[in-house]
Amino acid sequence: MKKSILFGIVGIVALLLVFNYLMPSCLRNQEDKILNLENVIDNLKEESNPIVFKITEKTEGTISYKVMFLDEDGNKINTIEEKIDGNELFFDFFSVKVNDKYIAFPDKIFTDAVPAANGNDLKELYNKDGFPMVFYSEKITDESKAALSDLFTKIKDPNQEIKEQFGSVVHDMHGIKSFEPGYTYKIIVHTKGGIEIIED
Amino acid sequence: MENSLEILQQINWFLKPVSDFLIFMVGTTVGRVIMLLLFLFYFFITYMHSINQRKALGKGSSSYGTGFVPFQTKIYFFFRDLFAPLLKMIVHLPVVLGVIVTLGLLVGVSSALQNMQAFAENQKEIEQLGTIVKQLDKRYKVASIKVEKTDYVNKTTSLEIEYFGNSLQSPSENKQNIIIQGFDIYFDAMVLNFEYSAIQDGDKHNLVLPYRIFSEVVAAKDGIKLNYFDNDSIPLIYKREASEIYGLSAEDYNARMDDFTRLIFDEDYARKMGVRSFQGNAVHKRLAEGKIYDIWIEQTGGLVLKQATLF
Repeated sequence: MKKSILFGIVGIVALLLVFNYLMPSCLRNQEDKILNLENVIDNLKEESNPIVFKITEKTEGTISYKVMFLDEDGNKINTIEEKIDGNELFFDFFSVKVNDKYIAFPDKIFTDAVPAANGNDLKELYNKDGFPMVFYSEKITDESKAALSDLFTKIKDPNQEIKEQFGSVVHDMHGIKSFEPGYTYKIIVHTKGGIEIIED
Repeated sequence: MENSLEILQQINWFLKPVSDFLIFMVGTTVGRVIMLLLFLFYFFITYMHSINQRKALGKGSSSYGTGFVPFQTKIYFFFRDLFAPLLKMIVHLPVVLGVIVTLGLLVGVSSALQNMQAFAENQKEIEQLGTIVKQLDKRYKVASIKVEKTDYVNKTTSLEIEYFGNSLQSPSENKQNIIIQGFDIYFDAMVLNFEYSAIQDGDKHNLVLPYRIFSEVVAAKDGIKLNYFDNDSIPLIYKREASEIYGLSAEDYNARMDDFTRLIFDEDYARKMGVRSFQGNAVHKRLAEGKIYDIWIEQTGGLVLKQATLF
């Protein structure tokens, strides 16, 4: 009887020792998994804001607007103020997949009345020595800078073929949901390729 | 999972404080210093008691007794009281070992329960995060565009558009054939994006209503209207299962249409329902003859266009 109690105690102690020895590594694995999932969620929710705009005046058939280009750190790069025919304002972006994430280059502004081919080209407005400044950040590496400059050069050349790319236009809808004069709107680019306009 | 967590918490509620106390006393310098001080205090009390007892005996044994305790006796008491507990422990070694093993078991059991609790909690968090990733990473096919012909003489593109109305991603019966001037084709839609918090819970889906096609040479206002409706004029977005629209259990078309209209025009209601943005969104590309392109709505917001073979 005493022997069996002793064996029982020794067994329990051994079991506890093994369990408490193995568990920390299981918990570490779980924590790594949690960290990884949190990173995936952060990446999915990651967004950039290259353009902020304001409608300065709107009459039937014309839109006056002010557009500000921002870099990744939110610093102002350039501002334009223009007037264009139409009732709906279209912001056209060139989206390209780079390292499993989409990045978007502001391409054109046109309207429901002006075809894209006659739209206002935006690319030179954020071009600095061949680098697209909307992607500039203090943390950017020289390697990324060179790759983005290279991609920008290809995008500007219509004869160049770029894989996994598409254009994406965001706009208001006349009579349904229009941009209001005096309001500021920001354009959000998602890493999964979607583009959104959000009232600031 | 919830139940097992509660059971573990209930079992450990009294073990954990005792275990924490033991670990503190044995495993930390402060704890060990406290134990040493307690032992010294115990030793001091015992030693003083021995001296006082000896003094009392000295006084009581003779009418001339002064209660004087010789130095040798003091030394004897000092070492006797210092080592007596240790000798007692050696004498009662089985009991002492039993106490140590019991306390060790208590700490071990508590630690095992804490580990199991942490494991269960981590597992729960992993499941929750996994669900969030799954919801945010989802996309729904809106339409497939087959490029029938690119006519470089007349500068037109012929398309066959197939719409996808439900989350099962099966195409609708209605196909639409379009011939449009130009080669860079814009597929325009109204897009209603919900907040991440609403999306990640899985009870809402971003909504899309395709409504026109235009091109680099055809202005949007002159674009071709899309037939994104079924035979009963119901937008295909509502051909989804009721539970998959955005958590509403609306049974009939009118209720659904009213709700969608309300989401678009009633800003307070839209905000309450978790709408982040409502916009026009056209995806476009210079399409190649014979290729099929799919248009997807991303749960993180916005439309994307991809060549069908990429998926």
